[in-house]
Amino acid sequence: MSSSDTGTVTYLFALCASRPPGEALSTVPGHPGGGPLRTLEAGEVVLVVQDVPARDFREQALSERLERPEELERCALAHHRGVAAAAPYGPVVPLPLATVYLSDGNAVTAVASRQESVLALFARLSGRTEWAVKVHASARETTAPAPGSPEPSAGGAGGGRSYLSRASARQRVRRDRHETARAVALTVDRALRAYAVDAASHRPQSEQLTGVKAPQLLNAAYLVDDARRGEFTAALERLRADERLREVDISWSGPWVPYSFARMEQPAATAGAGAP
Amino acid sequence: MGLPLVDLLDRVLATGVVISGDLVIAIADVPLVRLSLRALLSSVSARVPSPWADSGPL
Repeated sequence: MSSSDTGTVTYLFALCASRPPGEALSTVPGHPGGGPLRTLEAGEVVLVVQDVPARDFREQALSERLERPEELERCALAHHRGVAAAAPYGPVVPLPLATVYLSDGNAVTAVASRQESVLALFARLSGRTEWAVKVHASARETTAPAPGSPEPSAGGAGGGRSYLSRASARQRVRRDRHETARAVALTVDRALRAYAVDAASHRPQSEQLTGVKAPQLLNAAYLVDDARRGEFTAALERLRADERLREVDISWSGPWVPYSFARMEQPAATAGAGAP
Repeated sequence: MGLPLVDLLDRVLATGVVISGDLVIAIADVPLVRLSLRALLSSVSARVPSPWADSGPL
């Protein structure tokens, strides 16, 4: 069996509509310990694959590896290299991290059985890229006193009651500010959707993950036509500079391979659209 | 000030077409979001500088 400890399995990075030139793949370092990246064909669909050591990709081994942040990072980057290597040559549909088949034949058969959906997806993603946009509550707003909401008198007789009323007023102010920032984040989202073909939400990243000491209000992905990329990024710049949106900080990265939009059929109200 | 590594993890862990068949393992079928978050919370954020020295994510 090829899945024995000494064997290899077929790691599938991505599907693409046209075959990338050999050197575009063979020069890309894939997963450590594996062979060079290469292609397979399933009808009109090209698969970007690599032979990887079976022992590294058994469920148990994989889970353990991915629990270690540096391994997870290495694995995610290797996966992304394989996906991105094909991107300059046409539409690319990424597979989830660690999609592994027992053999080339199994991979080809699995893809061939979904050829129609894959081709439809190529058509949808062609000439489009993804942009990641995050909106955080502004760091400066979380400490400054809210304009127009008077602090209860600071002096006074002191004592528990005035402390409590100050505390609850502060809490109220914080809550109001958060509500405002949330509304602003939705405004940003609406504005950006106007330039995008589609949008998707990811779950908000924790402060530990982002290193930003403010709540994340929006973690969105936008699928943008190449022809409208300039408009989209100009809109981002405009939103970031907008004084009326100073309750939030906007950051973005891109262009990405359209990872967030590589879905076969839109399953209603799952990971894709809508708030978590 | 992009945070591409964090964004990358959002993407490679939670998305992508799932083509089943005779699959050894597709992480997307495993509750990886939980798995990854546990691993991630501990450290990745400390090294957010872009892993792509001069190029963008693409």
